[in-house]
Amino acid sequence: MTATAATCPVHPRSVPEGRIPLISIEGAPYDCGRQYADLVLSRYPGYRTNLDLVANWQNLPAAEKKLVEQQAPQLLDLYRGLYEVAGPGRAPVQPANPNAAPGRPGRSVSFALSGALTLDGHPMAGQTKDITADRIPLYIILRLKMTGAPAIMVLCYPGEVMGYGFWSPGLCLFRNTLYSRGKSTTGIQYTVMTSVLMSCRTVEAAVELMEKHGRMSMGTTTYTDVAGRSVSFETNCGGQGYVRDVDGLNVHTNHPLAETTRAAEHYVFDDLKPNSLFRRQRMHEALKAEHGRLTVQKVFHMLADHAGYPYGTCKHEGADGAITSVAVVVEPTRGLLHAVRGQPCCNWPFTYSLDGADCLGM
Amino acid sequence: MSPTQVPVIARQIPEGVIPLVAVEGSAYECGSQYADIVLSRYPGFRLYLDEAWSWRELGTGEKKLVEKHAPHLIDLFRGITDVAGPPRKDAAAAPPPAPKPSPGRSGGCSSFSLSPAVTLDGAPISGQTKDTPLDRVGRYIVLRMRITAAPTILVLAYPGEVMGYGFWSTGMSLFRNTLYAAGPCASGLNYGVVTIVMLSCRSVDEAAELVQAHGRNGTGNTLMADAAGKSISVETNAGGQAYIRDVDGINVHTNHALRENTLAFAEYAPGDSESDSVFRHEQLCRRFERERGRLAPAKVLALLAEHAGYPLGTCKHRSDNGDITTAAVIAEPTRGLLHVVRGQPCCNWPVTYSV
Repeated sequence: MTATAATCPVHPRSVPEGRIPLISIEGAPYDCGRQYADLVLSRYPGYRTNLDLVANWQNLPAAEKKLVEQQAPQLLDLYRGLYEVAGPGRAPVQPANPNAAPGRPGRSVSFALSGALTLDGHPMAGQTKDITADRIPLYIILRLKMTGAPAIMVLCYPGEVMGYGFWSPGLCLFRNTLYSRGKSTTGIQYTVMTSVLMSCRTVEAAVELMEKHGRMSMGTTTYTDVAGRSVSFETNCGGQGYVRDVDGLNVHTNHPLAETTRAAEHYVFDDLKPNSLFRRQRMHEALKAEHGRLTVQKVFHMLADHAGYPYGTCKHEGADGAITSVAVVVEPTRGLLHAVRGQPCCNWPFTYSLDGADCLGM
Repeated sequence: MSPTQVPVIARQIPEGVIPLVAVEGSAYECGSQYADIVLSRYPGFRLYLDEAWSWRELGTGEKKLVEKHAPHLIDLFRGITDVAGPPRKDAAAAPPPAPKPSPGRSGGCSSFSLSPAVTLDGAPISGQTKDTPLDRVGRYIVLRMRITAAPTILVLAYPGEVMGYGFWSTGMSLFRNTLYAAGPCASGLNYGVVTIVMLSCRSVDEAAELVQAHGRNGTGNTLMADAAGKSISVETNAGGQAYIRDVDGINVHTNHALRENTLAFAEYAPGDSESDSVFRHEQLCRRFERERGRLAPAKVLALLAEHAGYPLGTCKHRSDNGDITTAAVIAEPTRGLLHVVRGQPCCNWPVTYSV
């Protein structure tokens, strides 16, 4: 993990230069759902992973349905639209949480920054996402502008809605695998709760909602509000853990940080914990060193850090074949999502705007 | 000084894009189109248009050199001057002069060249940061000149300038630095003419031979790289010419002389200029070495944006003479791409321009 450039073979480019395609949809939630499903079916034939999960939203338990109706009723119409076009799943539907496969050694780095830390005073949040290279062509940027509901701007897979990004108005969401020995079995389904939390206007409201209802399964989600406050919710068989920002800075990798969830930490490979600790410390130090001077560009440079190459923040090799496949940084108060397809050290970011003025960056 | 001890300097340059000026046609047509565009879009900014007039009055040695190596430049500048006319004497209309190599001036540019052996994709990369007073930012253009039967030019430049900072489609790239010096070299052919003609060479070896054969007067450093990724810095001051080749594929030049003959005539402006130049050179060499074999344009930009030495350093936010980093340029000549950041690379996006 601490090999130097001189002792470490260089990995050739693993991700060709390119941009993540944008899917932009506008209209009533139900119409948006139908359009989205239509686009996914036509552009990604055979890729039904997320479309099949939509059926789950048609049969929500009463408590969950009530929660969604109270907090984000547009989601019910949106998923109804998706379902009516995509049809029922081909396999029995399981409650979805893509981060919760036991033993899945994800190695992403998430962060949130308050406006006090940034050069221009805007809060920022984002993450790297590590996965096998074959998933990269599946990435899309989804811009959903629903009538009478918050707009959604996220990086996701075709057919997915939750993704990685922000709601406007609402919260930013970034997610990490949480190395744990088991899942929480109480509370609201992971995907339902995680999505509903995005409808909150503040992290305080999100914390209240989470404390009241709980969340099943396993994983970390970091939420940031427009005031720049942030909280990481850790969920595993130890329960729920809450990790708030310290002086506007929040960094989360893959090891549990809260007392409740730390009790259930578990690592399927020996190097997972030190690697997670190293990435968190490295990112934390880099962000702190640029206190007050942080910009989106600067943050991308930090996400491209090669300390620990090829296993650090910008990953080029993993025991399970996972590499850094994307990096995302959002500026929710500016309505901007910047995304790099592949490792940020060798690919350019592209800027997507909520108001449609894309291509701001490259 | 640690970051916590240094006050943060607010954004100095708003986000934005350097405008592209694209012209196409014969050399003469390109010149006249270019002058037309500059006169209409930058009224009153005649600095380089006025300088172009000197191409109508080249010395015998310079004219012979240009006719032999880059005859299209004669037509190009004739096109410019036919439209722009002779230099104006109206000093009131003239803006402050653009930064140019001049003895004693404390410029802060950092240039580099990287051979294919040290880059991720095996294509040579070269470029520089450019430090100037803040008000120059509004003047920058990217010039793309597609000249019939001659190499295409893709450079960052000031309106009316042709040499600029970038490359020709032959794969030859040119980046430039102020060289802190007590005085100019008095012998040899005109600095600007020799430098631009060097771009017409097919290799840096040929370019070096050209300077050795004809000399170059004036003061400054030019870092050139060829399509094979070989590079050479040519320093010129009262000590004569000095040649610095890449070391294992990496060549970095800032503003202090690196060879004995040119170092003997080094002179620094008061303040941080010498130590900052040495610091930038060491830092950049170290950063490139650290990423040997993994260097891609995105990584190089991150290295140029590092804040070691803040607010001095490679990505400069303050200096004794008021210069800050107002642009960063990264060229991939063999791919025909020029990536340009308007302002400091730590807080502005690059935009990619293609041949």
